[in-house]
Amino acid sequence: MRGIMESLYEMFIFRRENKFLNNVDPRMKFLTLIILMTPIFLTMNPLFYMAMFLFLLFQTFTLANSRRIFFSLKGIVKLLIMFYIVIYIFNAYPNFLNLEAAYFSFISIFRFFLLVYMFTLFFTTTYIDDLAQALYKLKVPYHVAYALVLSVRFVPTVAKDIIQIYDAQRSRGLELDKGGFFERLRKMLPILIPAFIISILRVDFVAEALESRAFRSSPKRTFMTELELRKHDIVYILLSFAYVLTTYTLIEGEVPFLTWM
Amino acid sequence: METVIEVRNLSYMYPGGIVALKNVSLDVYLGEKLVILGSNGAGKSTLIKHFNGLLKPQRGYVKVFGVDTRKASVAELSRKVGIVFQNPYHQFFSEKVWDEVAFALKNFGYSEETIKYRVTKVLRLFDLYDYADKSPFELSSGEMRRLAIASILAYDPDIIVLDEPTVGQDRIQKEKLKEYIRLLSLQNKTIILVTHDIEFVTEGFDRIVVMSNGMVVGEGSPREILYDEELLRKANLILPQIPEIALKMGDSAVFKKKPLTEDELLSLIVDILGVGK
Repeated sequence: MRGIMESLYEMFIFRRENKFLNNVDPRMKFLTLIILMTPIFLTMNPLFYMAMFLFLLFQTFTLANSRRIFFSLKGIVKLLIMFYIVIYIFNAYPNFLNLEAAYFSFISIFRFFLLVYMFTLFFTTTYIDDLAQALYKLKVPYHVAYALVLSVRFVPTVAKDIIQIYDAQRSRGLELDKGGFFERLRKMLPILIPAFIISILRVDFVAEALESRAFRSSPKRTFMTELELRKHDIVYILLSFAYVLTTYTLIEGEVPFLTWM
Repeated sequence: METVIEVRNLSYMYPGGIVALKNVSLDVYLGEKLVILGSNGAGKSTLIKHFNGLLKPQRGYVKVFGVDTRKASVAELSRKVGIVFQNPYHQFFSEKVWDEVAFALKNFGYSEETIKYRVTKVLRLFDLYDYADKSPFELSSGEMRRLAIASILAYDPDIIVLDEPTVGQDRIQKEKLKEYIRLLSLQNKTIILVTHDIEFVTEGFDRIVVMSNGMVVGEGSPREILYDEELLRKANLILPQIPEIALKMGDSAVFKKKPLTEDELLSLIVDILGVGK
């Protein structure tokens, strides 16, 4: 559990880094995310998935802080292995030695993993303030954008709380890895209850803090640094689009986006 | 003196790449009242999480009563080392104060009879017995803090680690806390207090270890450490009030005796002025 929470913390924590992806306009990055994501839902071809995986890997190594991204993914991979087992059991039932089920379960998990990887790449390289501004510029009312951004902003805070709670309860002799399935579920209560209570209390603090700083007193919002599209943002989205287009056409034998229209 | 915790060349880096501990070596002796002093981010909390195996050494080792923490579970080590964490909200989950104190005892497999005896004893010690059937969340912040300590003391660990216990506490609460620490010390418990509250440690402790940037930068008696302006500055701390006044007085007699409490300073001033002679 500690590992998963540490990964979540690392994924969503605000940290400025001078890497290419961190400097791409969040609007373009979000659009690229959609371009990369869409074909994944339209094919189950492992070759195409592999091509996408290599593309993400390339971006991780050349355009972002790879160490941070791999660490964010590490905890989630553990979860995916658990999901794989569950999906396999459902697919294979009642014949548990089933190669076909193993294959389809793998494809489903691979698809899910790619999505998680894309979102990880997006969130580890996007500043939360820029995201709020991007949403505002896309005509989302600022209080709605802010609420969305706030929910992302608090992921590392809650993850950190859960790590602290986990440590505190283990220090009082709680052993989560002992006992049967239901026993282990019951042992989650000493971790979940304080986490909920702290989160509920925090909602109140945040609401008060926002009100005391006159949130929503003016309908128009200005920003210290304005987001603006630059050349490299366009290059990034165009290259990503070209990659998806080429690999999909080569592997699937049809042109994506165009044939769907 | 018997060593209860032995830390050697301990290094630890957090997953995000932040180095929290660099080559830390430290001995904690049986029955002593030790302070680990340092500003925020000095690595104090990371260090104490190694004492009961919550974090395992990446380099170097930590031995608790001779047992290497890498070879023991958190539950086994926690029986010897009780850590009271900074924020009581991070541990309370029971409906009643009583259950909160009994939680660790149940986890460690004590009999119903022992649990009843120990919970009653510790609740009485901390003036919480009248609240036994109340929700922990109905308590005041001082009472919560006491309950957090009580819930650790209930299973009687030999070493008690208090992580920033003075945060958000008024002076009266701090004085009470000092009194509890004294009481525990009388029972021959080893106390480790982790804090950045330099005023709190001027009285009642045997030794101070100063940490900064993940390293131990100084170690000595409170009188040595709390008068070492350069060391404290290096650790991003400032002198406590009494040493600061004493140093500003510039009197060699005062400086020689290094007063730490109001009473000590006052008696020196009385001596210098010759009042009452």
